[in-house]
Amino acid sequence: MYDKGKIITGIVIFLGLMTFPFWMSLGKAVNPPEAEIAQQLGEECIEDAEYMRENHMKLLNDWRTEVVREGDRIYVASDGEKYEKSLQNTCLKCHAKGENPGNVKLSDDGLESKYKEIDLNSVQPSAEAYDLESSDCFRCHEYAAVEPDCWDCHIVD
Amino acid sequence: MKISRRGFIKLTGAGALGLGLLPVKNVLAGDHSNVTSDGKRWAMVVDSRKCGECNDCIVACHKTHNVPEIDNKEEEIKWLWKEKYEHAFPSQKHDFVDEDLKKRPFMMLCNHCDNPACVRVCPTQATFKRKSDGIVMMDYHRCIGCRYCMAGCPYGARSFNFNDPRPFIEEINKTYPTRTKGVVEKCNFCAERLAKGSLPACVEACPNNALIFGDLNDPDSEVRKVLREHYTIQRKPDLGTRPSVYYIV
Repeated sequence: MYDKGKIITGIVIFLGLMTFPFWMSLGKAVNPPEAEIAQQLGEECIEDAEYMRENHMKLLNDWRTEVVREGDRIYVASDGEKYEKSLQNTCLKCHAKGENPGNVKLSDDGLESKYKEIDLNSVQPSAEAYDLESSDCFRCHEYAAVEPDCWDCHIVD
Repeated sequence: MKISRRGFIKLTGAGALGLGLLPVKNVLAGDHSNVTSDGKRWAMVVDSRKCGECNDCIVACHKTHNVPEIDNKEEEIKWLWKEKYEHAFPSQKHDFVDEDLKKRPFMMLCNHCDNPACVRVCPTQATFKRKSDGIVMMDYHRCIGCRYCMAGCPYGARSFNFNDPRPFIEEINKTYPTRTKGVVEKCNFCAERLAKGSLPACVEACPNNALIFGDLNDPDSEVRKVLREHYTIQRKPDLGTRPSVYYIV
C-alpha cells in the first residue's frame, strides 16, 4: 500500500473526530428530569407515574376533545377520584410553581361546588400565573427536545 | 326476457347517469338541516329598543375572551360588534326607514345557526355544532386557517388572526386562553361560562337588559316568553341558516 502512514493516520483522526460526541460525554450521563415540583408537594398524580409518563399526551388530547366537543369536564381516575379536565386548573397546580399549589381533587358533586366558589361576575384575571421555565413540563420537554405548542394559546407567565 | 347487447349498454348508461344526478339533486334541492340539538338550544334575543350608547357588552366579551384590539380594519378581530340597521338587515332596508331605526345600533354576533354554513365547509371539523346545546363551537387546535368558514358565514361573524394576537391584548384574562396566529375565531356563546351555570358575559354586562338569553327548546324559558310577546326578526333568514339570534326592532 502506498502512503500507508498517511492513510492510517488519516483514518485514525477521522474516526476520532466522528466519535467525538460519544467519548466526550462518557461517564457524564444526564438523568431525565424528575417531576420535582410535584414531588416536593407530595401530591399524588391523577394516575400512577408510569401511566402518566407514557400516556400524558394522549390523556391531554382526549381531555381536549371531551371538553371542547362533548362538554364533559370531569375526569374520573382509575381509583375513582374526580378531577377537572384542565391543564391550567389541574395539571399545573402541582407541576408548576403557583400561588395555591395542590388540592385538585373534586368533591362528589363534581364541578358545581367548585365553580360556585369562583366569582363569575368578575371578568378580571383570577387564575394564577405560572412560571413556565421552572415547570415540570418545560424541563422534561427540553430534556427530550420536544416542543409542544400548548403555550402559544394557554397562558403561563 | 331477451336483451340485446346494445339494449343492455343503453340501460347501463341510463342507470349510471341517474346515479350521477343524485348528488347534484342533493346539492341543489336537498334539505341540509342537521336539526337540531338533543337537549338545549341556546339562543339570544337582542332588544334593540333598549340598546343605548355604551359598549359595556363588547368590553365584557372581549375582556373575558382575550379578544385583541386591532385598529387596522382589515385585520380586526371581533366577537361582538355594532352595526347599522341597513347593514344588519340589508334585505329589509328601504329609502324611508324611520329615523330612530336608522340611528339605532344593532349588536352583531355569531348567530349559532341551526343549519350553519361554516360547519358544512370546514375541512377539518374544527368548527362544529354541539349536539347537546346547539352552540356552534370551534376547536382552535384543529383550525388550519383556510378561512372557508369566513367565506361560508353570511354574517361576517368570523375573524382571522393575521398576526400573533397577544401584543394587542391590553389586559389578559388568565382563566381563558388566547388564540394564535393563523386561526379563525368567533363568539362561542360563552360556552365556558354556561358550563358553570352562569350567563354569557355580554348578557350579564348589559345595564339595560337588552340581551336576553335562554333555551329555545324550553317553552317556559325567558327567550321563548320574549319571542311569544314581541315581533322579532332574524338576520338573512331567507338563506336557510336558521339563526339563533333574534332582534326586537
